[in-house]
Amino acid sequence: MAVLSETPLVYALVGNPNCGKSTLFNALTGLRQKVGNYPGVTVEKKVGECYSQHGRRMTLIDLPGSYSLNARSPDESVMRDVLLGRAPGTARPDRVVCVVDASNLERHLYLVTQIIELGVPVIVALNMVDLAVGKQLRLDVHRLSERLGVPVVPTQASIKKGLIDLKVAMSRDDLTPPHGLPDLLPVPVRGGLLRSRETLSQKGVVREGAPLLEPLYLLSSHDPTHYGISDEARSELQAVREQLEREVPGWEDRLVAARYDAIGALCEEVVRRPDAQQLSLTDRLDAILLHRVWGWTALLTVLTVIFTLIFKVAEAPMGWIEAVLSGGELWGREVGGLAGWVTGVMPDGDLRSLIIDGAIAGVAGVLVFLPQILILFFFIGLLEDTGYMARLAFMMDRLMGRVGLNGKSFLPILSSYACAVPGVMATRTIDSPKDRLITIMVAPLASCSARLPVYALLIPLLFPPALMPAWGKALILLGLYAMGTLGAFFFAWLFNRTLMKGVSTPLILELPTYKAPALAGIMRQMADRAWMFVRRAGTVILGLSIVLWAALTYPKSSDGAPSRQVENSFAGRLGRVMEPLVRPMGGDWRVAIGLIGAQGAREVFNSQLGVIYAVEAGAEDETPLRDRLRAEKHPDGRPVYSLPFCLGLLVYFVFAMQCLSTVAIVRRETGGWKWPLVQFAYMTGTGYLLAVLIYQLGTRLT
Amino acid sequence: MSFSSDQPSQALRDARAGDTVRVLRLEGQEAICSKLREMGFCEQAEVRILNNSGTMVCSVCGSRVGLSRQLAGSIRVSAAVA
Repeated sequence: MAVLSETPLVYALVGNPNCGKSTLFNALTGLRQKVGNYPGVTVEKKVGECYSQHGRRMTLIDLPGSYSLNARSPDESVMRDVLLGRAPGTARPDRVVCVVDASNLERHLYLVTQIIELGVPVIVALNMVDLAVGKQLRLDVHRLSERLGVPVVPTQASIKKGLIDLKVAMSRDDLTPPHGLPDLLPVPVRGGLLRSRETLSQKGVVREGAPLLEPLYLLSSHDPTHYGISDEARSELQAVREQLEREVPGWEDRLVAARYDAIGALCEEVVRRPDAQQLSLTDRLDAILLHRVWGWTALLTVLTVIFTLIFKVAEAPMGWIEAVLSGGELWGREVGGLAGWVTGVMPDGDLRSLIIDGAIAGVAGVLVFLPQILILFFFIGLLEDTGYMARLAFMMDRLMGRVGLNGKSFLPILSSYACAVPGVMATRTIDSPKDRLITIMVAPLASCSARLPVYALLIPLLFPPALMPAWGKALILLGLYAMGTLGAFFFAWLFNRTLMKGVSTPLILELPTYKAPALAGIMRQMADRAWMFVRRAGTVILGLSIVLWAALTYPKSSDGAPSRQVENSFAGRLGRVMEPLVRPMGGDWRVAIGLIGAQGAREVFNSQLGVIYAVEAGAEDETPLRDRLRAEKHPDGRPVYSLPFCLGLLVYFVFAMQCLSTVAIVRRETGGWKWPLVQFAYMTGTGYLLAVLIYQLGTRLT
Repeated sequence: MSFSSDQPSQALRDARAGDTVRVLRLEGQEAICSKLREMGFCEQAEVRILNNSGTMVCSVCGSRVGLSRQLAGSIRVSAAVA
């Protein structure tokens, strides 16, 4: 009978990485999704809704892909905690849908055997049946369901096949916890676990009737960090584990082997393989793409194409965004944009200035990078979806291993070339806490797109226009990127040697079967990630822009002369105070203000200088900023923007940590102020020292 | 299910592409060994080497797994089995 209850049935969707879980989640829930974060850890929490056959609301939680309940990374600990009902703010799921790759049952059933023991009803979605057919595998679905003791539904989420059957199974009222699998626990272990569950539940570490293996999963020897477990609980759990290990030495390893034995026997029974082993398409592609010559050629080509497109294709939409918000040329016509419209409808005054110079300029400063970030996310999605990303990480592993990083650090660093915020967020998949921390520490050294406008402003100032062909500028730009990259490798090596001792996890990575990308899914993910970027970066930079605007506008100078206004403002006074710090690298108080502004977000440097010189010069003077900078002189007549100064300033921008959003995200991801402060100190310190060195040496030599 | 210790063994790293070998034992840190076991490199498991030129790719439990060479050095396997 249908249960007429208002509380929705809560389903958790679990599976190994690359099983098509998220595609299935999207197909089941459509647009009824919410993306948030689990408290404490910054792992994306995706919750969606759909309706059962009887019209009952069902909530679906899409959990991060994982191979085992023995969690090794923050991502995996979220799956464990939600399934065990230990995640704060998330109800324990009533039922679990295990998504498995039909073409790869042996590996995927491992997690299924663990889930089945948890004592909640389980449904297995046998996904990607098309791949199994392609491999000429014949699966006895009926027998599999019988042996596992759970409903098994063949699906192909990418073309929405089997979804109705899956929903029918999910709507069943009569699902009971499965007991089809043979008991894999040796008798003495079971006894020990039963006793320890009693002890632990009395002490409130686990709930009454918790899964027998919960203590194991909470404190597996596999996970050195024990995410989300309190210290008292940890010592209790440790005692239980040591006791069991004394009674039955090596039982954990034997349990793993027993699972694979059971799975092996099961697969013998339900999977019929073709007689002859033949080379699959993936094997043939891997022979090229992992080849020591062709593989690297392909890798470099792919990266070059992505980078070229990030900068080339994004150019036009960046111009449109700029034009629409701040005014400029749009499709051959000069437009005033939002700023121009506000100028037209509002009387001159502080409020108008706040809106135009504070809010609109600030928001434009962030949104202008959106095209680049969208393109980057698109390619990352494409690489992940086709299966090439795993190969990239795998190929890079040896190279990155030399400086103490591992292959999984590659994606975060790659992302950081667009923006360090998604880059730092992408470190969540790294197992080893040490590798993860080092990656977070060095990722912001990759020259992000916010540095680009500053580079673009300063590079032409290095040499007189006549001496500087276009390829020369490109070469310098390339050099700055190389400097950031080498810097990241150098500091990774240094941290690995000094600050952060600990074990690196050697890379072991499943290389999924190559497949055609599902564009709809990629687009959707791209939109989700981009929106998170806009929201996060947008709020910080908007706030900061307004603060900067206020610092430049107040207090009002008494005589109202524009040149005095900046000098007398809070920012101007601060610039004066900071001038002694900036002088060794060749700057004056105006540069100091620019650098203070750039401390929040690098690209602000341009607009700061623009505002300072514009305010000083008055409204009529429309000399472009770059020419004005070129003409700028120290009191003794030397040009301010000389070669040594500009070069030093460029290097400062390569190294210094000047991004509030990154500081904020690093604080969240590392769980405290310690690492963001260390990062700020080492990056800015390096940039400053190098800039001073270059200026001092440069002025002495010329 | 123990193997006699005199069975000829080699590091997985030294196995040739195309060979199928059997895992004899895992060496090194416990945490890393258990990760290997969970990825299918249990004692007695059959492993087919797909690629061993610079990178190490194996077929284990029906799926492709890439390993760092350091890790492949800590897995002792039998000589090629038929």
